Amino acid sequence: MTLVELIVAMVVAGIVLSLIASVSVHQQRIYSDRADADALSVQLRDAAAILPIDLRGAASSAGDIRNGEASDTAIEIRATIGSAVACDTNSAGVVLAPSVAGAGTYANFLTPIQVGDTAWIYSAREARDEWRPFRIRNVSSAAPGHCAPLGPTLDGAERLTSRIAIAFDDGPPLGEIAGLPMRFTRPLRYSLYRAADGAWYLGERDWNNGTARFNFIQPVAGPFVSASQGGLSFAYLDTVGAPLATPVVNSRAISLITLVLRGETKKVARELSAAGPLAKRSDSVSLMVLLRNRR
Amino acid sequence: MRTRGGIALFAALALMALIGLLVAGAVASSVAAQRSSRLTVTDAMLTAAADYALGTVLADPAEFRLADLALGQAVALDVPALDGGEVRVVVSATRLPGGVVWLVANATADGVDQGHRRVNLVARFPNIGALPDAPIVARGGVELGTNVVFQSDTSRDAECVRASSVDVMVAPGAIVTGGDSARVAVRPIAADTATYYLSTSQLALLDSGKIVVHVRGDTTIAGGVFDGILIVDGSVTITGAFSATGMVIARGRIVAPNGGFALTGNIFSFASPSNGDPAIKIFAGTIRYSLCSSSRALRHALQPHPVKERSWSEMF
Repeated sequence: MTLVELIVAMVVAGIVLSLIASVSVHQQRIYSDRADADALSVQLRDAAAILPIDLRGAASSAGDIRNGEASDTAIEIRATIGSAVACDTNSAGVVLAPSVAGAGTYANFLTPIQVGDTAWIYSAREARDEWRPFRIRNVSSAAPGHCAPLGPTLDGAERLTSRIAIAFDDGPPLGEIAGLPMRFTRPLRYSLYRAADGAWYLGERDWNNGTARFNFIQPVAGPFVSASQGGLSFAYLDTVGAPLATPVVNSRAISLITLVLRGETKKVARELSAAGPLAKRSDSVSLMVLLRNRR
Repeated sequence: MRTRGGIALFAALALMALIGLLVAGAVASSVAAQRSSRLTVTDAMLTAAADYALGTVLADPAEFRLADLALGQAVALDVPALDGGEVRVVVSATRLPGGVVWLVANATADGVDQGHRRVNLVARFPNIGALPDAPIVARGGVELGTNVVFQSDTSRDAECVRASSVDVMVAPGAIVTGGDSARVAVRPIAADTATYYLSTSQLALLDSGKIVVHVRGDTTIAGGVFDGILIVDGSVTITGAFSATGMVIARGRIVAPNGGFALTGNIFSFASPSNGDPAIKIFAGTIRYSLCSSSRALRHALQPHPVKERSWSEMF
């Protein structure tokens, strides 16, 4: 190889490698931007999957959304944490049917029932529909067994499953309770908040029956953009679709909740930015949650 | 011949390796994004499938025989799936006291994007009035032959174990003759149209029922078998062997002069006591008080609805 050939080869190789490096850098940036955008998308989807579950179960007409606590960046509700059919009664109070897998279950709990939670008992023996609230005074376990004659008939596996017994502060006559459906609720608050890292998150505060206060806020999804930039915005509509002013004074009128979550990528997008070079990529999700138990 | 070194092969391999890495990264990224999207879609499909199944059951209670559910016993219902077939739904229905139906839809998606969602719905058959504790209820007088036999309910349904405290209930001023062993009670509610399910709102609900036969005038029944609710705006004459299960309600008189009348349930006559004739006259027959039969007939006639305020609940 002559010197000339060597120089030509090096120049050509340099050009080719530069092109490759340039393409690679672009590709790497695109990949990085894409990954960042995907992460944002996942956060938005997480929030969009979690929030409607609690919101759509709220019985606004029964006061499940606290007056004045439905604002544009936060909402406080009575979240349903369990459902059950009263199985029997014993010295400890009302024995709930056991929770089992599948469609044949008569009980299910998102989180264990605690003293201070509210049990709503459906008064089926009256002509009118009524869920009557009772504060839970004690929670204990009950031995497996059959239900009372008016309660559900348990199959073999269910009869071997331990059950929960609850007592109320001032409950209904125990003799009339077997076979009645029950719901269990606990206050829950969702809001957009600024965490210690300076980022804004969708946070959840669940009620602590021991301290009679909300627990510290825990992040559910995020980060999103700040409250002033519309990181989370709720809007409330009544049964005819008219918007209600926030904070909603009469939350029993709420029939539909719309919410918008906005986020942006952690890093500036170097390739995939609609807002121009070196801008963060934004994304949002908009949801309409029709309250299933609104009436 | 001198061997000449080159870098083309090395450069090509390096380029291919680099491109391969980039492609792999891009594929991994898009797969993750696609999976996330699919999970969101699966979640929505599961919720929709569960809601659809519960709505289907409630929309057609006759098809799923909700009125015939035994108290406290879960029955798995075969509900057609939504188009697509990727989600399987099992609905379980249990009748609870007071006409309440406990429904649970369990939707599951198999395959790569497995998912599961359970939704509970509490529905109730409308309560249009309490059933009387007597098989024969009349506003006017009742005349019973010596061959009228009153029997007790043999149902094992825990909600129906209430035995009739009386055999005949009449309004104040009405007289019961014959049937020496019959237990008779005179109560003001026997003068109320609501006791007979004949108030405007009660009739409106019953008239929409599938197994309610509403005769707009007098009728004569020569014989046969009837199961359900028979409402007659005029009088009823039963001339042959007639077996009725459920409720027979007449605004006019009910007369069975020839015997052969067998009733399992309740018989009501709102005929005025003023004209002297008995509102119900049964020569011979068997009267079995059955809270179960009458309440089942009412359930068949009425459409269940989600109870108010807390009917729906997610089951995790």
